Amino acid sequence: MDAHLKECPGCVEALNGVRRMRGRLGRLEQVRPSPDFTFAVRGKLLMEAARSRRGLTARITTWLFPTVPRTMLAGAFAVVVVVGLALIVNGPNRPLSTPKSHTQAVRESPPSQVHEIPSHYVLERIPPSSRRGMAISSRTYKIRGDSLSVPHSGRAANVQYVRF
Amino acid sequence: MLMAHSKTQLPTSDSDVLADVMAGDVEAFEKIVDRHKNRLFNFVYRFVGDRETAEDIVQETFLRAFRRRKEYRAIANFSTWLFTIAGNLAKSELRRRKRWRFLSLNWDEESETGIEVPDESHRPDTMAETAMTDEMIQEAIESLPANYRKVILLRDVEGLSYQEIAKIVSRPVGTVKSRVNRARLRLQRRLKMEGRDVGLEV
Repeated sequence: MDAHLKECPGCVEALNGVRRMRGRLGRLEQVRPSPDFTFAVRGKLLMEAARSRRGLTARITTWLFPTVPRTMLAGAFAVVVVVGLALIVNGPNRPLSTPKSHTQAVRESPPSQVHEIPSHYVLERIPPSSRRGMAISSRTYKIRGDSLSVPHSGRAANVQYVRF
Repeated sequence: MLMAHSKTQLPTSDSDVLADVMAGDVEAFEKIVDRHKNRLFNFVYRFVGDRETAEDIVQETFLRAFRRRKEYRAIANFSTWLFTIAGNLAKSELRRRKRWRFLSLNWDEESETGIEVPDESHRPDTMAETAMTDEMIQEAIESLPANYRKVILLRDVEGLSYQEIAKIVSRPVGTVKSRVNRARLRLQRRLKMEGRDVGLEV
């Protein structure tokens, strides 16, 4: 290329022109943004940050349940909260819908001679034909040893024994 | 020289604040804005030739960079990434203008209220002046196709390396070099056609 340039004034002129152009472009005035540019950008950034924080929950919900209306989701959320609270109040080992077997209930009763046992465990133990006329007046019955006496209404003196 | 100047102005590097930026820290991102706003603005202004549009584009560039901060990969400088976003936005703006101009000219023809565009290429006052002002060069830059305009601005005005430009425009370095050279030749030719001599400067 150098050899060619020595013999070609046209190319030398073109090359010099390109070099001058390059130098001139480098000396163009540096144009600056207006003084309120930074302020404007800051405002937009803060809005964007706030939007992304707000939108996170909504995005997760939309991603999980894209077609379910928001009212239904809110209702489901309320149910979950209520059930959760009930579980906390009742204790983690006592689910609401699955009653324990009576034996388990007795085993877990305080180790004393007289225990209390929930009435539905008592009823499970009594055949339906024998339940007729039976007054279940309280939520619990006293148990002594492995048997319990249930008051039988209609026949005041009669006591039916239930063995556990 | 430009890079050295930037370094003396801004002692901390982008990587010092990037961890905070990734976590969504607006204040940390503002440091990035302060560091790059002038160069980005100058580049975009030279690209689109309009201050207001350039400000909008640079603001949008920062906003998009913040929004998509997790997409940033450390394979390139953060500034390169910003130039990529800004360059794409500026190019889209040019495309939009071109469409709009086409549509508006059609509308004007139909409604017979055509805009009279003055032909300034032979104005006696501009012909008499042979030295080049910044405005003349700016006009010549704006006459270049977007691909040429982008690379010549990044190379000769912003002083980026060919490697950086190659990343920004997603083209091989050889292609970038050839585009830069063609852009310089086109600029030179354009200015010569208008009776300007690159050697004579104001």
